[in-house]
Parts: sequence; C-alpha cells; structure tokens
Amino acid sequence: MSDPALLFQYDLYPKQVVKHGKVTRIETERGTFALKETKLSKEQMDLLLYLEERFKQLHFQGYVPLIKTKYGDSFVLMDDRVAYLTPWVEENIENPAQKEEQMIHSLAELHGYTAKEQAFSEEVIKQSYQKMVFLRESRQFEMEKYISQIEKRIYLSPFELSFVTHFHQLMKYCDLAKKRLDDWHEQVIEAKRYRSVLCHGKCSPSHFVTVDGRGYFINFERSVMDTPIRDLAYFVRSSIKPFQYNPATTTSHLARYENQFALYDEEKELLASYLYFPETIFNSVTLFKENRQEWSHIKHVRLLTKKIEVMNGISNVLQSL
Amino acid sequence: MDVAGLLKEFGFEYVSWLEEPKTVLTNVGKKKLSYWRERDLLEYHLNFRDRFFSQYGLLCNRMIRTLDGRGYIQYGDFYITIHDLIEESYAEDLYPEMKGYLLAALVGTAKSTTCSPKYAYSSEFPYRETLTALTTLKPLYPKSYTLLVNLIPEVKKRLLLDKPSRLPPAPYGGYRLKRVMGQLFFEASDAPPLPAYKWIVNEIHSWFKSMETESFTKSWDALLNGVDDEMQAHIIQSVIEPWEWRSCILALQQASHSDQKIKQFQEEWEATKSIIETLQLSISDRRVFAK
Repeated sequence: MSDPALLFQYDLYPKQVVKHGKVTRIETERGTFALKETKLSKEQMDLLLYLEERFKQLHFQGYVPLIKTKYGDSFVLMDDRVAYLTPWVEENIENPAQKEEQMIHSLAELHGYTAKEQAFSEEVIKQSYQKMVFLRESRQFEMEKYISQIEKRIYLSPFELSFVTHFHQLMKYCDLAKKRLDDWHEQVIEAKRYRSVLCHGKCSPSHFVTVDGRGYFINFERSVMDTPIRDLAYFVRSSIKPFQYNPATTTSHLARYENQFALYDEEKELLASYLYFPETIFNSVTLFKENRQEWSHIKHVRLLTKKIEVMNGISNVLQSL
Repeated sequence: MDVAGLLKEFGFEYVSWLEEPKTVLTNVGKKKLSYWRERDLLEYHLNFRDRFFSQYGLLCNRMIRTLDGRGYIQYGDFYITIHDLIEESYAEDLYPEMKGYLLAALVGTAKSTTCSPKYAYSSEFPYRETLTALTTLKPLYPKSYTLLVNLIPEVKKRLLLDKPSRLPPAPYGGYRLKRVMGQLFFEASDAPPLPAYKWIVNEIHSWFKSMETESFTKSWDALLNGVDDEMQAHIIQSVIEPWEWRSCILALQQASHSDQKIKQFQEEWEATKSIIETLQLSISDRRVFAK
C-alpha cells in the first residue's frame, strides 16, 4: 500500500513528509503525526492494544497513544509489515542529563504502576536461574573459543588485539556476574518473593521524549512482563557516555528510581549480575565476526572500545552497589 | 432531514449537505450516507468489508466509525452508516491476476463472515427438483424438452460428486471499482448477499467471453491460488455443475421468449464445455480436479 493510500485511512492530507529513521513525520492541517512502519506479530499488536487499555485504566500518562484509522483500526496491515500512527511529540529539552532524570523517573513510575507480585515457586526460580547460567556459560565458551583461535596467530588485527587485551578482565566480570547471580538466587529463595513489571523492552533515551517537563515513552513494540531489572540494566548501559563518564550520574539515576520504586535487596543483586555480564561486548564481537552491516574495521574497533569503556564505568558504579 | 447534527458523532468539525439525503461535505472531504432498515444486513456488510480489507488489503467502502467506535448510528427506524465518497472510477480493465485475486478475496472473506440464516442459500444443486420442473415443459415446448432431456446423461456426469458445493454467499451484486490515491477501491453495494455459485459462475463466464485464453487461465490460477483447498474444490465443482441447464428449465417454465432462452442456453452450455476443457477440469472418483 502506498503512503497516500495509507494516510487516506486517517483522512490525512500531508503538507510535508519527512523521514526520521524508521519514523515518518507527517505535517497536515489537522496537526503533526508520526507514522511508523514495522514488523509486528499478531501477539505484539494485541499486547500494544492491551497496554493502551491498561495505561488508561491506571491513569498512566507517560506514553504516546495510538491514533485509530477512520475505520477504527489501530494498525494498518501492509504485506509483511504493519503501520501505526501517533501524534508527533516534538522534544523541547536541550539538556540530555535532564532528559535522563525525567526518563528514570518515568520508568520507575511505569514499573510502579504495573508491578505485580508473582506466586512464588522455587522450581520456577531454579529454572530461570539455571537457564541464565547456561546461556551465559555458552556465551562465555563461545568467546573463549574465539580467543583461542585468534591467539594462535602471530599478527592480530586491531580489533582482535583490543579484545585479547581486555579478555582477562572480561572473564573477571563474568565471574562477578555469576557470583551476584548466585547471591540473587539464594536471596530470592530465602525471601520467597518475586515480582514482575511491564518492561518497556528497549529502554534507551531514544525511545523517550520530553515536552514541557513531561516525559513520554515511545515504541512499546518490545515490551514484556519481566523483572524491573531488565529495563533498568538496559537504561544504565544506554545512558553511560563512554570517555566522559561520571559514576555519580548513574548512582544518582538509581537513587532517583528507588525514590519512586524501591528495589528489593535481591533485585539489586540481579541488577549487579546483569550489569557485570559483558553481553554487549560479546555482541560487538559477534557483530565483527559476522559483519552483516559491512562496517569498516575501524568502526568495529571504535564500537568495541566504547563498549569496554562503558563496562569499566559500570564496574565502578557496581563496586558500591 | 436533520442528520447533519447527528454526524458530529463522527468527530467531523463541520458537516453540510451536498445532496440531501445522500452526500455531505465535511472538514475531511465528501462522505456518502447509507440508510439501512435491517440491522442484520448492516452488520453483515460491516463485518464483510472490515474483513475484506484486513485479510486481503483491498480498500473498500468500509463504515467510518463514530468517536466511540460504533460503525453506525440509529436515526428513527433507520441505521445510518458513513462512507468515503470516491468519485474517480477505475477506468481501465483489471489485469488478469487481479481479477482472480479480487474474486478469491470475495470468496475468502465470505467464508469467514458469519451470515444471517436468511441469506444462507444452499449451494447444493437441486437435481430432483429440476427434473420435476423439466417434466412440466413437455406439453409446452416439446422440442426444447427433448433437447434438455437428451442432455441428462451429460448433466449426470457433471454432478457425480458426493458432497454438495459449499460456497458461501457474498454481497457481490452491483459493486463498482473506483480509484483512490492511485489504489483500487472496491465499492460494494448495500444489497443482500447473493448465492455464491451464481456469481462465481457468472464471473468466470464473463472472463471467458471477454479474455484471451492465456489471460483467462491467469485469472483462474489467481482465483484458485487465493483461496484454501476446500474453497478451490467448491469453486471447481460450481463451474462444472450444470447450472445453465437448470436456469434454462426455470426460465422456460415462466414461458417467456423460449427460443431466445434456448439459444442462450446452448451458448452457455458450449461455453461451459470450453471452460472445462480449457481449464482441464474433471470429476473422477467423485472428486474434482483441475489441470
């Protein structure tokens, strides 16, 4: 379906259309809108609709609502994709630090509104613990295999050299992640409690807009009910600026979050475990090996260096957590 | 009629009559009003059109929703629905694959749309009933009667199936093809759904009459590819079944223009034979086959 035919379903006749990555900004006489074309399963669409309803019931206002077509559809199906429309929210905040503060506050609010104590089952906890241990060990093993391959060579590429240099430290982080995961497991079993919240799923500043002091999450496409730590760890990683990192900022974000939504002690262990595990660094190795994006070598090196720097920053914060 | 005020329920900022009581001008363009007496029929159309779009991606004259999500408003004894007024006709002929896809979309949508029992016509070929009707023709049109009786062995061959065809009825009659924003727009009429065997067979005959063989088979293939296996079998069965034989008998019973009816029947009979041959359709072991 062409864009005009798609907009016809909203009775929108654009004056100006501008692409912003995956989103199209549409200016019309009836206002400015954001049109997103994406791949969503039926379950994801249903979840988004459910979330809208739920947010309305909870009077949670920190999201940008979907606009229905004139025929009452929230999504328009287009071959293998779907499109949906929301009001365009023009961000008017200039200070990124302020935006992060607003975001962590809204995240705590979202988690607080949707928190649900789960019926405690030792078996379920044990299974998720074992699954996590298994996944992490497999990932570690994969990296060890890669290292043993490249160490056989006389000359290493800059990327490989950089990874080899930091490998020992990364393995230490893995050990710490395992230790904190064990602590979490022990404490949860003792406390006999486990809660889940609605996790945004991609909780980075690029999925949050602020207008006149109010913040709104956008793109709930990957949202899921899970531990609040999932979002929190994502946020911490994405908010750390490599090479200009101030650990006090992360500490203050976490304090701000806890003012609104206090974490259980065992959840703090889980957060530490999530953050210690250098998954994002391992991901950049996979990215380098596969190189589907056909990036230059130097781009991969920069990304890896950035991720290592972020990891070191996180480690500083974690010493006090 | 003062429904203009009522239309504010749809969130229009202004509404004025263009042609009372059928078309209005709103802040979002011209809209057309439909008036329904039967709520069953209205709800059938509402569901059918919604599904037609959501399952097949074809734009059509769906019901515009009120601010609170309703597809119609009540006005006295009527229900009113609002639709886009599309003025541009789809001037050129559809390409063969699109013709097949459109028909497949109608069959597929009809299959998944619940229909009031009032419109659930049987698609079973009424052989016994037709034979009884045929006997009444003997004293009136002996020549025609002989011709039709002589065809019974052929008719039986075309009915050698265990199961009756179960094609769903659909609101096929009186549709118009329009164009909006460069796209095809299917404007269904508000008429009750029609028996499926009739409109499918009519449509396939009209393709056969107007198209080259290659295009005709392309349309046919697109039709079969667009529906599930079950519907494929029913469509093939409907094409094979001797509906033209039955129509001729019923028409002669009404005693009007008998020569013309027989001539038309002979043409249709021959056309069906050619269609069956072209598409290599057959019945064997009580099952239908296409090439």
